[in-house]
Amino acid sequence: MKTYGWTIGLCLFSAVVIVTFLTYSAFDRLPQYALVTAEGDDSAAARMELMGVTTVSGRYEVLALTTRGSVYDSEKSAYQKMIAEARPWIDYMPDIRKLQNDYRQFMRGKGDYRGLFQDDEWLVYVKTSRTKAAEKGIVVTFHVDMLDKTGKKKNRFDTTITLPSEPSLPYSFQNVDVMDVQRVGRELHVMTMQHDTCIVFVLDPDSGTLLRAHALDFAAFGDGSAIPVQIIGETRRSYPSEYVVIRLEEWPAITEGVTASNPEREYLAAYHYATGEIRPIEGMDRDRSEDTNSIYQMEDGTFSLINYNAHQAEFRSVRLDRGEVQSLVVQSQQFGAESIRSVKWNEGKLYLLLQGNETSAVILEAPGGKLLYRGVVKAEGSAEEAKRRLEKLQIYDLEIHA
Amino acid sequence: MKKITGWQAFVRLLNFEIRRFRWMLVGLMAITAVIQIGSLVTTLLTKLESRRQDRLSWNHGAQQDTEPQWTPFSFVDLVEQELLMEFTWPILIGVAVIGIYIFFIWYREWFGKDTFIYRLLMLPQPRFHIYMAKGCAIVLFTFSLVAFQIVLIPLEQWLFHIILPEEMRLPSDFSAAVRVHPVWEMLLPEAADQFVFSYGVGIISVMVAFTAILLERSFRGIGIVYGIVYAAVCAAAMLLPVGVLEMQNPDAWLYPGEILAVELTACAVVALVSLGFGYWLLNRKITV
Repeated sequence: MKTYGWTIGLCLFSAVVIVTFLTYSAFDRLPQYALVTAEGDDSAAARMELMGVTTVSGRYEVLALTTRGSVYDSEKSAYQKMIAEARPWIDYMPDIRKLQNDYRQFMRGKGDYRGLFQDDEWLVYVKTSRTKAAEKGIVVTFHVDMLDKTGKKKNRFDTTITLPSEPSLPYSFQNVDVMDVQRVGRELHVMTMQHDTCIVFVLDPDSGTLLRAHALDFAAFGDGSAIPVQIIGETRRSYPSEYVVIRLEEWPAITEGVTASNPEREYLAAYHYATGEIRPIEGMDRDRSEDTNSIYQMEDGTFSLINYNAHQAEFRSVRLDRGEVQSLVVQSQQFGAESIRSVKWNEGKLYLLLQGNETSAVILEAPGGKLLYRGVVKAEGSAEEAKRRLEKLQIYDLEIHA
Repeated sequence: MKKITGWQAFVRLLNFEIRRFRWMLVGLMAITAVIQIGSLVTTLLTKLESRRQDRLSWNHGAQQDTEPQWTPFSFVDLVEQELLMEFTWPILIGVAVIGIYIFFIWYREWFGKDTFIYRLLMLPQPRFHIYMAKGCAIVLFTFSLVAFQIVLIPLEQWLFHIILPEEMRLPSDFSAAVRVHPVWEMLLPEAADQFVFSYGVGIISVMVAFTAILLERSFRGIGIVYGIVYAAVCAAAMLLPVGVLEMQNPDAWLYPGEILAVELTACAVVALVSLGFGYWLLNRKITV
C-alpha cells in the first residue's frame, strides 16, 4: 500500500476537494429577493420579471426578480446560459416560442420575425434577397415558405422583381425590407419600407407570381412632404392583423443650409390591407418633451401609446376598426411611490415599475384602470440585513416573460 | 510468480508515472503557495505599515489635524485591484509545466539515459496501458493543482482576516473571490456542467496531443507533419460547430440544443478516434 501512497493520496485529495468545491458552489446562494404581493392576485404577476443589479462582496451581480424569488445570471448553469438562453429574445415572444415548439422544422433559419404570418390555416415566412444582374439592374427575390397547418403541406416559391425595370414602382431604392406580412383572401400582402417609401407587394401563393405592387401615398398628411419612418405591426409578430400603422415625420425645409435636428410634425396613418385605405389616426400623438418616453404598440387591432415620465404615465388606446380613443392617466403618488421607472403594456394590462421608499410593481387593467396586482420588492434576512440588501439593489426595468 | 491482472498493471504504470513527477508537482504547489501567500502578506504588511506611519505622523502633529481615515477593503477588492498578476504567474507556470510535460512524458522514454521505451513496450501487458497510465497521470496532476488552488483561496482569505484589523477590512465570500480573478474563474467553473465540459475538452486535447506524439514517434520526420495536421483537424472539428453554426444567430438553421449536440458529438468522435488511433499506433506502428 505504501508504494501507492502518492497515487492514492493525490486521487483522494483531488476528488475530495473538487467534489466539495462543486457541492459548495451548487448550494451557495447569493442574497435572495422577491416580489411580495401587497394587493391583488399574484397569479396576475406570474409572467412579470423585474431586471436589476446588486452588489455582493463588491461585485456587480445581474438578477431577475419575480414573485417566486430571484435568479442571478452568475448562478445559472452553463447549459442555461449558453444553450437555453442563447437566443434570449425568444423568452419574451410567446408566439415565436410556440411556433418553434409546434412547427420546429418549418421555423428553422427563420429569424426575421417581421416576415412571419400565421392564421388558423397558414403559416407563412417571407424574406428577400438582392442580387445585381449585369445589364438588368437590381434583382430582388421574395422567398416565400408556406405551411398548410391543417394538412402540414409545404409550399415554397420565389418571386423575382427587377429594379428599375418593374412597372408601377418608384425606383429610388435598391433593396426591399419586409416589415409585415398579412393574408387577404388567397393573396399574400407584403408590407415593405425603404428610402422614404412604403410599398405593398401582393403575391399569389398559388402561382407564385407578383400580382401587383403599390406605393402608399401619404400626400394627404400635412403639407405633403411627410415621410414614413416606422411601421408598427402586431406586437406578437406572427399574428394576423387587418391594419398596420405607419408613423410619418414632416421635417422643416432647409433654410440657409441648416437642417433641423428634430421633425416639425409627426403623423400616424392606419393602412387597411383589404381595401388599401390609408387614414389618419387622431389623438394618439406622442409627448415629445425631453423627459418623456413614448412607446407605440399594437395588439389584436388595438393601437396604443404610452407616454411616461418620472411622475406620470398616460396610456391611450384606439381600436383601429372603430376609432374611439380611450385613455388612462396614472401617477406615481397614487401608489405611494416617488417615481415611475418603466411602463409596459401586454395583453390588455399596464405594468408599472415604481420607485420610492420601496421598489414596487403595479398591474392595472388598461384602459379600465382596475388594480389587478401590487407587489413590493423584499429581501430575505433580519430587518437590518434586509434593509442593507435592499439599499444595494437597483431595479431598472421590467419585462413580461413568454 | 503471481500473475498480475491488466487492472493491476495499469495501476502500477500510473503509480510509476506519478512517482516520477511527484517532486515537480510538489514544487509547483510550493511555487503557487509561496508566490500567492507571499505577495498577499507583503501587500497587507505594506498597507499596515503605511497606516502606522500615517497615525504616527498624526500623533506627532506633523500632518493633518484630523485622524487619518482608512477606506476598508475586502479580500476580493485586494485581489482585483492589486494582486491579479501576482496570483496569475504561479498558475501560468503550472499550466506551462503541465503543457510541456504532456510531450515530455513520452519523449523521456526515448531520450533518457536509457531508452526506457524498450522495457515499457516489452511488458507482457497490453501496450495501451502505457497510453492510459500517462493520460491519467496528466489528468491527476492537473486536478491536484486545481484542488491545491481551491484549498489556497480560503487559506488566503483567512490570512487576510487575521493580518488586517477589523476596521480595515470588509467581508467577502469564497464564491466572490473565485469570480474576481479571471484565471480562477476559468480554472474553477462553479457550475458543475461547465466544470465537466471544460475539463472534458482538456482531457480530449491531451488525447489528441498523445496521438500526435505517437504519429511522430511512428513515422519520425514526416510524422511531425502528420501530427500537426492531425491536431489541426481535431481542433477544427471541435471548434467549428460552435464557430460556424452560430449559436446566437436567429437565422441559424439549427437550434441551440442541436448545435450543442453537434459539438458534443464532434468532441466524442475526436476522443474516440484519438483513443483508437493511439491504440493502433502503439500496437502496430511503434516497434522496438
